[in-house]
Amino acid sequence: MIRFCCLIPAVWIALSVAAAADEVTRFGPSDAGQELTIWSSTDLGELRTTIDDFLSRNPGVAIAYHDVQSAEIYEGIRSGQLAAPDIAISSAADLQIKLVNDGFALEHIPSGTVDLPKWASWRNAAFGISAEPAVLVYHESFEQFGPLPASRADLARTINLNRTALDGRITTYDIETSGLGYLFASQDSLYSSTYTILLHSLGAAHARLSCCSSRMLDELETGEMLVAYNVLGSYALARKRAGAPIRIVLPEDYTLLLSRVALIPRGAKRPDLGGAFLDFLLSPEVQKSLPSLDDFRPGSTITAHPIALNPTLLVFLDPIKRAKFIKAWKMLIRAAS
Amino acid sequence: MKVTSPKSASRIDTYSIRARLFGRLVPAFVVLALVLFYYLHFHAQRAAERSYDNLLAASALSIADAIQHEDGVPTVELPYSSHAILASRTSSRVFYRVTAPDGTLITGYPGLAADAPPALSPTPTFTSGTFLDVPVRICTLGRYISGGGQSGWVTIVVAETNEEQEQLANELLQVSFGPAVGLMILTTALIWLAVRSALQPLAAIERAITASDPTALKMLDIPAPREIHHLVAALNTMIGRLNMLLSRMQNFIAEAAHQIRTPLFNLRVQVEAAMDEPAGTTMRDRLLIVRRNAVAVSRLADQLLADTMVSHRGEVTSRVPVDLLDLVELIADEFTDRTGVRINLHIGALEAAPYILGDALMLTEAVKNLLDNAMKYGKATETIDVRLHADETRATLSVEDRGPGISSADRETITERFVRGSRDDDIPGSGLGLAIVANVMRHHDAELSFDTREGGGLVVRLVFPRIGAPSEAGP
Repeated sequence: MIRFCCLIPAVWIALSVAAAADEVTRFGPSDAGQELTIWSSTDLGELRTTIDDFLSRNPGVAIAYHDVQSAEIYEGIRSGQLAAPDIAISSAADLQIKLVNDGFALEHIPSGTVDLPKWASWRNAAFGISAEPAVLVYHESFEQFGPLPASRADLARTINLNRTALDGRITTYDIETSGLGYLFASQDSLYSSTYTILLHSLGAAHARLSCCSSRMLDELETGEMLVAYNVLGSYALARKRAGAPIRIVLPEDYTLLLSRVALIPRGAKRPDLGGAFLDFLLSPEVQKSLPSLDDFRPGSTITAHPIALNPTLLVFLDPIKRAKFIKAWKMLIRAAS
Repeated sequence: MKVTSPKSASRIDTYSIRARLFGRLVPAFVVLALVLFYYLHFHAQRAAERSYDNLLAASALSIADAIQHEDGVPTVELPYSSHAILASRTSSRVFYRVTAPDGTLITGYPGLAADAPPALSPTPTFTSGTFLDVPVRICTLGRYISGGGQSGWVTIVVAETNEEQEQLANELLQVSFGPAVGLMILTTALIWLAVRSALQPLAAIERAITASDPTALKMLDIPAPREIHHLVAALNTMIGRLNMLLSRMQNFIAEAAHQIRTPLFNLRVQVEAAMDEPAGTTMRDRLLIVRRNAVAVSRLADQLLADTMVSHRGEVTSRVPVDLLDLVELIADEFTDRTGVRINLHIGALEAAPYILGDALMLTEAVKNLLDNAMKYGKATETIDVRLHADETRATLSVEDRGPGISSADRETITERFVRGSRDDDIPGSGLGLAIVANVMRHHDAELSFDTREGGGLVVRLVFPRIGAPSEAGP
């Protein structure tokens, strides 16, 4: 009988074959007595300061930071073929929840003042260490079509009105190859009926399906693409701050908030170090330094839809459900083309 | 005499009402609490299971509703609600399995309740088990599909870890068992207080007795509840008896002192007179008087002692079977040896030894007194007649003399201490002899009676209840 874990799409397994060991960055003294191993799908740049702060508080500890894709984190911890890290941080909230549900994570009671909203942790095993929005990103030149569309319905309308000009110049995740894109799309399908309309418009404009946020942003930066839908906010903000000619819009009908989810694997060699690092990530000090919604849209309120960490995320991981969802999604986005 | 303290004597078989009450109450409560605990534990478990089972069933039903045929095989598009139902109420881990009628897995965790038989009914069934090494609550139900390639029951299994169910059960147990135990403790405390207030009147009596004048015995005059009214009444009766005894004792002492004073005074007078007289004249006469008075005093002292002995033995000695014939013969021999006076012993027809229940020492004292009297009042030269006969139930001993007898007017009072008959004036005596005899008779449930003897004289009759001869092994 086929193991359930193996029903996870083959493309993820293919990714995980390249063992997680290649992209390793080491921090801290080389003669440190203790080593904390981190697997993270996050850009190292975002965590570097946090890691340095943690090490300055914990002399005698070194950190081996492994840059691992979220699917590889899931497979690596699940298969047990690799030595498990002491903490795993992934933006694939659904896969992290599945690891906890299937008993691959240790319980950890955070010490110190932790002020997590209820949706941001589950069973004291999965902890959302950040909340970042899925955003609309426009190239500056999009303003030629009028004010930047601020909702999904607006965007669909604008695309329909300017179909020729925008043909082939809109990009979004290919949900078949991107776990994050799939997660966003599945959540969109729960919240919005206008999402179907938007998918139609995207299909009509021959939207390009992309693997990842960075590639979508690259293509926006060059002006090849004019609109990117459901881009991870922190990446877009980093580009904008680096001077890219882009505009970031938080959809005002609702904005999905995604957590980076940290957990301590059952096979961790030093769960104590993993726990200490997790506590540090959750501390008010680190939490304050993370980008907040104010950085995207100062002073205004939005309708935030956090992706709650609970077993409902498991529904879309069901292989049949996933296959059917992707099939329906493709049908919608291809229908008009 | 050493007096045993009543406190230490009563401590041996003393008990506390409160301790006895609690000695029974507390174990009963403990047993009750245990029974209650298991009862409530069972029902709390059931209630918690039921409330979570409903969620599981709803989840399983939502999956069942999503089952459909596709290209001739059953398939299911897992509804979001299947997990949302559970996630909205619990943070349990969730597992599911959907299996086709032919036993192949459609989707889910193949190992979940893998050994359970396939469902053949749409009614949810619930079991507890383990999955992935953790305890889970499992709901199983079937959904019949027909048409296409396969017809039959699709099995839907939904399970969740039961830590929240356990927690709910514990909470239910706490909110039900806690007050029950509290109530028991409260009841115990209330009973404690109730016993204390119920015993309050006894403490009041104790205080009244302690505080009463130690030089006088006074009746208790305190308000007592109905329940201990009898106790107070009994105490007062006893105090009355003590008062009577005390006054009798005081009278006795006064009488005894008076009786002793006369011969002692005479002794003093005679001795002083003898000292004043020239030697040799009437010394012998005086000495005779002195001797007579000394004999009277010593006899009085003897009888006082005898009386005290009889009273004391009567209180403390238990009676044993005594052969009255044996005893009388012994006393008669001893009497003849001592005084030289012969005794005619008339024994009636006896089939067996006449046993009575008694104390040989007391009986001897009584019979000796009668013989002394007979000798003293009868003409000393004559013999004394003693008769002993017995029937089935009684043994009668009579002592007969030829003395002046006792007038019928005197017979009522003659047995009181220091009372003498009206015909006894010229014969010295203390008035104790017959009192002693009467006392001994009282302790033997025996009758004492006087009669006038044919041809003059006195018959003193002692009638004892007779008992059978004791067995060899008997006491």
